[in-house]
Amino acid sequence: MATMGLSVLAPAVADVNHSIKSLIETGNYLEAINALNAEIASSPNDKFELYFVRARVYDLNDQSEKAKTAYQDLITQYPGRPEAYNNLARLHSREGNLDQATALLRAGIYTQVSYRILFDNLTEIYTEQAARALQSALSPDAPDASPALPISTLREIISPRIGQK
Amino acid sequence: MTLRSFSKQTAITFLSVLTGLGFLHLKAQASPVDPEKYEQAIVTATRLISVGAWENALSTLNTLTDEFPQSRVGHLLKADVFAALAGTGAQNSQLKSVEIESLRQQIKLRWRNHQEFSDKNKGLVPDKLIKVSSQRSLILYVDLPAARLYIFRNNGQGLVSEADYYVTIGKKGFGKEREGDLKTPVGIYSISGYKPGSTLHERYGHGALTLDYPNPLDQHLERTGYGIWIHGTEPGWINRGPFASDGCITLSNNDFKDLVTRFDLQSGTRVVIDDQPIWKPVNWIEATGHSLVSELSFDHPITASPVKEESFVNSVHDEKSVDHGLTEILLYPGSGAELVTQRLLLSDMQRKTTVTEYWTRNDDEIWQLTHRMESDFFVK
Repeated sequence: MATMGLSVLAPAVADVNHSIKSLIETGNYLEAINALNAEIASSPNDKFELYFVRARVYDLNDQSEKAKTAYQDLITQYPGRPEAYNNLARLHSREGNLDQATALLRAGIYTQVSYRILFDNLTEIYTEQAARALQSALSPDAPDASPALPISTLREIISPRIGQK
Repeated sequence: MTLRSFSKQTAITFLSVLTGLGFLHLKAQASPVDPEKYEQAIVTATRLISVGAWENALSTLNTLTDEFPQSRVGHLLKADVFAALAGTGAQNSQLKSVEIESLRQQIKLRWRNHQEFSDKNKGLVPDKLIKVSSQRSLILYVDLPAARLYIFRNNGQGLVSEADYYVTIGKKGFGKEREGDLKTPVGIYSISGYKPGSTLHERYGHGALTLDYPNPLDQHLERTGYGIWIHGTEPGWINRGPFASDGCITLSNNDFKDLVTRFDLQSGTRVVIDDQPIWKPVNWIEATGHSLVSELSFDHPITASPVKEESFVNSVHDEKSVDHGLTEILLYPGSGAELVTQRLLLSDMQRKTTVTEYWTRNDDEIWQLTHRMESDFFVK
């Protein structure tokens, strides 16, 4: 099927060293993977960025299955980071597995409490608007003063911080 | 079947109706309406929804429902967009009330019509319309399965579609046989009059064009019922669903207004109501017309009667004795006949007769006359 037009979350290549970055940009994916493997083995720091870039390079190198496994591992290891959910959803949608893709995107949004609330509230309003439009479709002359459905209460964000899951 | 000549009473009825018709006065009242705009918005929104362009679809629909707050299909399409955005689109499409289903059918019919006319039926004309009177020049054609009323003009070279409108027909569909069966008749009729909305119950909307159902053929087949009209829409609605009338053909009030003001409809303007439309290229129509004329035999006696209104004596020499005086050849939709022809005969300067003849083909493929109606009037 045609690509769904889901955009890729850009890897934070800034954190990946310059030589690896240029290997990727020039299409030397196998060499880039080797370099990333070496970096992962030796780096003492948090390896999210390295794992993430490696998953993307698998995808660029047409190794879809490896890419999917890599993203799935990232989700297991870093459940609060939304990036891997998005890119794994993209791979699934490309293969036509739309149900898996939507479940992943929803889970990705839900990694952030604030985004989750925003998303749920937006859904709530759209649902309400759908219900009202449907009511108008059935009886367009019904007075506006008495809407057919009660206005639902949107959730409030209590903490200004974007919290983790 | 027996050959029947219809009595003078029929002719007199036609004449009395004729005097009450002043279609021309409608032109003066013509107000600017753009009947295509409404449907165009529905079609555009449907197309935008089909490609997931939610924001553009919404803005098209908001414009539509601002201008036409009673557009139920507009509100329903909006509900679809919001449901899609909410991720609950499946729930909406599963909502199967009778009212919603009927709105969906209407959208589907309008959409299908748009698709086919930008493609399939372009340049084609209905196979029933073999020859349309060049005197009247206009003919109405109802494509029942497509829920569509067309107005065609004979421009001398052939038929050209001038306009077409979404229509509602009987609750039980078409093929009227009995009074109260809630069906729209299938056959060939004529406009017999115009009634402005101010003289009618509000459910007729902007007005009504009356039709001559049951026609002589229907009467012979003992079909019953009356008051089958083409009319506007009741308050509270832009259009009804495709199956919602008691047998009438109804248009939106804007469309009805467009039909009666933009076109010079006359008493006697034909209305062909077709249950099995087939669209054919113009050369097929011409070839069929030529072969029909050569196959028909007009050796039956005619009872010509004097024309009562002097003013009806107009020059018709161009129609006389060309193709037996045939002014009209229409294939008959539905059952009871296969062909109807109309001839205009001028016996002398004082007398003229319109002869309507119904034909069927027998087992030997020979056309046989089954009914004839003579009426002593001429509509110009």
